[in-house]
Amino acid sequence: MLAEMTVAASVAALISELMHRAMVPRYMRRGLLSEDIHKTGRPKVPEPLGPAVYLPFLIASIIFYALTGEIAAIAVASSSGLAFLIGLLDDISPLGPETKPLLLILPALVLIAMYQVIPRPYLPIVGRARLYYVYWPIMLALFTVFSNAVNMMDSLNGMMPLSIYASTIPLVPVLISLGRLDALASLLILHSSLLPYCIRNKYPAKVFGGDSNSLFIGSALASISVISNTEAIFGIALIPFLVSGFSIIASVGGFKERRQIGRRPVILKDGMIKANPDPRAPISLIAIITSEKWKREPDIVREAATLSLISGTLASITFFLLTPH
Amino acid sequence: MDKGTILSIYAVISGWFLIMIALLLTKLILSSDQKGFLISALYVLMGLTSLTLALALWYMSVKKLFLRIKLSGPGGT
Repeated sequence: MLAEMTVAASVAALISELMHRAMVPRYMRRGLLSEDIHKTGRPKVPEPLGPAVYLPFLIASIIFYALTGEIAAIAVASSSGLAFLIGLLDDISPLGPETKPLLLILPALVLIAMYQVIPRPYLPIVGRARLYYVYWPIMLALFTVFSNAVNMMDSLNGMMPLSIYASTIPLVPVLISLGRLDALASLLILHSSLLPYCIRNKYPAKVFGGDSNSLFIGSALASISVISNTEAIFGIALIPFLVSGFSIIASVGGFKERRQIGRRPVILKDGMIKANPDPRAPISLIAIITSEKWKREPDIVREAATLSLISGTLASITFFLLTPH
Repeated sequence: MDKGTILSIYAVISGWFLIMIALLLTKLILSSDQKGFLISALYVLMGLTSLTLALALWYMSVKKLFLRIKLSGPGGT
């Protein structure tokens, strides 16, 4: 299966690269641009490049299925495809702050409909649990939590893709030890599809993914964790994402759109970022990192990626040392 | 390493510790005698309540430290 995985991952990276090359000039010509608000002069950047990440993922998943007959890859691609469409809809015409989290439950239903869900997650300390009743609402919530957490992490140049790599690469040995090569294939295809985007999104960003990209990635990670029963391990790996998302939601008092939040979590000066000194300003991961000093955007992104690497490693250690299996 | 970086590491490590405590509690609940669906549901409810309380405590501790650092920081570039 290693050869098939390599083929699918290579195809994903190649198609994603070609799509980025084709789409960026078209977006520029058509004026599909967004302001990079954290930079002096607010340069305009093509957005949303989500289709250039999701479509290669879909094509590579189909190729992997054709080569191996593993339906899990198709299930992950279909489920996260729905999240991609919800994100694309949000990019075109913003959805309400309450509607989006509810809609993001739908990808979970796709996974259930494709018989890819077994309510027996590996839980650290507990072992392999049988949660035939409580699993389902938690699983539905998992999709909306992961998708929104990844979406909220997508706020600085390269922050989301770099943190995704840092938190999920340490999970590769976990999936190998469980023998879930189908889930591993989906994860590697996701990494490959994301690579051309990551190169262009790092500081100073040449492209933005939009919600179609971040919601798809969050949903794909939720799907991969569910089919491999490693929900808790992925949850630990994504702690920096969850810290960021939860802190914002808790400090603003629920789900709110960016324009509905009166005070910004951070302030800007000459390309430097610092936590807003207003005590009533929302808390975010970026605000926590810059709570004492002014920092440059790439430095904050590097710290967030380091935090993700810590949590990813912690998740892997937790699985191998603290999870009976 | 400045206080902001240390606070972000604290937020992640304490978040992990919180999950471990909640799972340890779940383990204790699962290992206790379970008599029927209603009692099991009550145990799960207790587990979720303790997780929510622990989450609230975690958030309050992070917020308190965050405000202390933010309001007393040097603020210069």
